[in-house]
Amino acid sequence: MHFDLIYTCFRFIFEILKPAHPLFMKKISLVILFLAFACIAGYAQTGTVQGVITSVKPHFANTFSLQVGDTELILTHDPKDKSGKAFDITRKYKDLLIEKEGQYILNPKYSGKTFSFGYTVNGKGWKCIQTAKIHLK
Amino acid sequence: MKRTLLLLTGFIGALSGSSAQTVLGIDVSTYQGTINWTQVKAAGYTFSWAKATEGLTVKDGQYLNNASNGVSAGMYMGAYHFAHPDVNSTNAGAISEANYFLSVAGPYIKTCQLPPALDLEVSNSLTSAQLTSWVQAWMTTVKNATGITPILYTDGSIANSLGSSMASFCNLWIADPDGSATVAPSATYCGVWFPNWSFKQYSWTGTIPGISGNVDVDSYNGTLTSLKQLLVCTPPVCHTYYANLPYSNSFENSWITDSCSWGGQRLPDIYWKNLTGGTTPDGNDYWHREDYTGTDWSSPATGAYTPAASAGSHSARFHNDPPPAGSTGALDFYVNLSQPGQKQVSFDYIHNESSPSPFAFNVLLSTDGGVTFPTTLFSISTTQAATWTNQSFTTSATSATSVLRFIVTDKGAQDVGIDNLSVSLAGITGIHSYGDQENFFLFPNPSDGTLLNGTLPQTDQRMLDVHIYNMVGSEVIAKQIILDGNNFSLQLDNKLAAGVYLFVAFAGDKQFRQKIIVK
Repeated sequence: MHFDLIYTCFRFIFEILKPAHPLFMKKISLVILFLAFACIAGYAQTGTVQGVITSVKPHFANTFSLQVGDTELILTHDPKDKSGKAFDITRKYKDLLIEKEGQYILNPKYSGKTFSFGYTVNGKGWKCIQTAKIHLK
Repeated sequence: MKRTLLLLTGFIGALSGSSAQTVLGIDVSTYQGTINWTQVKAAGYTFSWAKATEGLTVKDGQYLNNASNGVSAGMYMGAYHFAHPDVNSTNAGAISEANYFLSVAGPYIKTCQLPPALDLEVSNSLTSAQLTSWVQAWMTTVKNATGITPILYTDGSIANSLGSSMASFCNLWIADPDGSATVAPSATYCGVWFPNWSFKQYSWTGTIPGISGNVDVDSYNGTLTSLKQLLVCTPPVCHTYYANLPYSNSFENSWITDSCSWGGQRLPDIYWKNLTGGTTPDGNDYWHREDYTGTDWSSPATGAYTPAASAGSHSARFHNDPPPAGSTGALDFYVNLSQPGQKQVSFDYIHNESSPSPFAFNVLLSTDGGVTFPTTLFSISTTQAATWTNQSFTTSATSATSVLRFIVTDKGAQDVGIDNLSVSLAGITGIHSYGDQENFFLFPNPSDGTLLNGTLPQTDQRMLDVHIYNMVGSEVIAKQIILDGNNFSLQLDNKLAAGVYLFVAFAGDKQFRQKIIVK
């Protein structure tokens, strides 16, 4: 599992960053910090994106594509919701999209708001929104 | 971590709640990285599709690993193609995408695999009729080449927008990620396929031993016994298809493998077959596109000619080096010459070698479907052509089952190339290269039989020479139309019976072709 890999990676870095470790030197620390970043980037199936939602478009299989900066995020329906209308997202922002005249649009109350979205990459390679919070300045 | 545990718990719950007979599988692509297929199989998954290609240029980086390692682990594997009708929007684009898919997945499709699948997720800018026509063109091309009815992967919205005839072209694999492997998709979701949908993709967030990260998980609408019956383990009948005139090919598309040609990429399209001959034939005696690097050809760089093509970037090449040389390779073109009148055959030729021996390059004619070749239509008498040189001749043959055999016997250090082939009715069409098909539009299509409108790419021509052929190659309409800028309208006046027709138009030295449907 990727979480195991990330854990192993960080554990390795933690061990050699201990002051007692012979590799503990400033330059090497920088290299190791870079490696830490590479570990996250290499195995990450999750991530966060921060920005304003600039467009909402219908996507495949009743999902919605939200453009946030250069990133396309996918908002999926909650499979546990039998009405088929609730989105798989932090409860507070279940009303992120609203239905208007048969089409889903961004809820006007969130227009121009800066969000922090947490996502997971699904089997299709999509970045699927899991969590949301409004970014406070 | 908590979320992962929840997902895992949910997934195990879903599994435990499923029927013992439910046959489970997955579908994968490069997003899943390197997969431990033994673990996947041990976890109870029986089948998998692996992404092979996307559009016209993308080959999935893990396809060959997945196709090979999945089978080794005992999985029933299949290949899928991610469609781009949004980019290659014409039917010609669909056929090109199908041929690209076949060029990559073709060698695997008939080795006890699941039927090939088309992944249709994007459809923007196409009408329902256009999308239906696009999918049918892809399905028909793959079926003609493999003899296998393919499978369409899509969602309920697209499934319902396709024409009612689609169920006869393909089976359905429906994306319905409700998290349940056992709950059947609804009738309204499956459109014309209900209740005979074949597969359901029930989650995009499966977690499975052997795979890092999330994976798509699927269930089969049937028993394991019936799933096995879907596997194509024996070569289907070797199909023969005859091209209608006019026909042209500058060998730009990836070559395909069909049921007549095991081993890969030996046919420019479905109208060709590829045979070796001579006393010591080996793989080097097969024709391929000039940039072929597969195992048929040893030392493929040796004997290559420059430039590689007279039109576009690619040509058809007969490789005769290294020894044993002097044997023979035949590239056979199956063509319907039933229209009355002279037919003109034209192609470009290159062979930069002064005294190869033995050497012969003949174009032979069969009028009995390739059983016999009693007629030599044309011989290339000049062995050396240091640059691309046009060769042309005519024939008055009228057989609907004609075969033009391009056959070379050669020994030497330089290969033989042909390019820019055109076969057309002499005196009517002349020699035409394809125009920009991507920007050639006909509408409405399907037509009600009264009027057909069209738009060409930018042109300085004033007249358009239009020919419409039925599916047995007979010309049913021939008209000259004055262009209004790039636009034209053709009155059909209900002269066409309901059916499928080939629309061919000539503007200057450019030709444009598209299938049309009359309702």
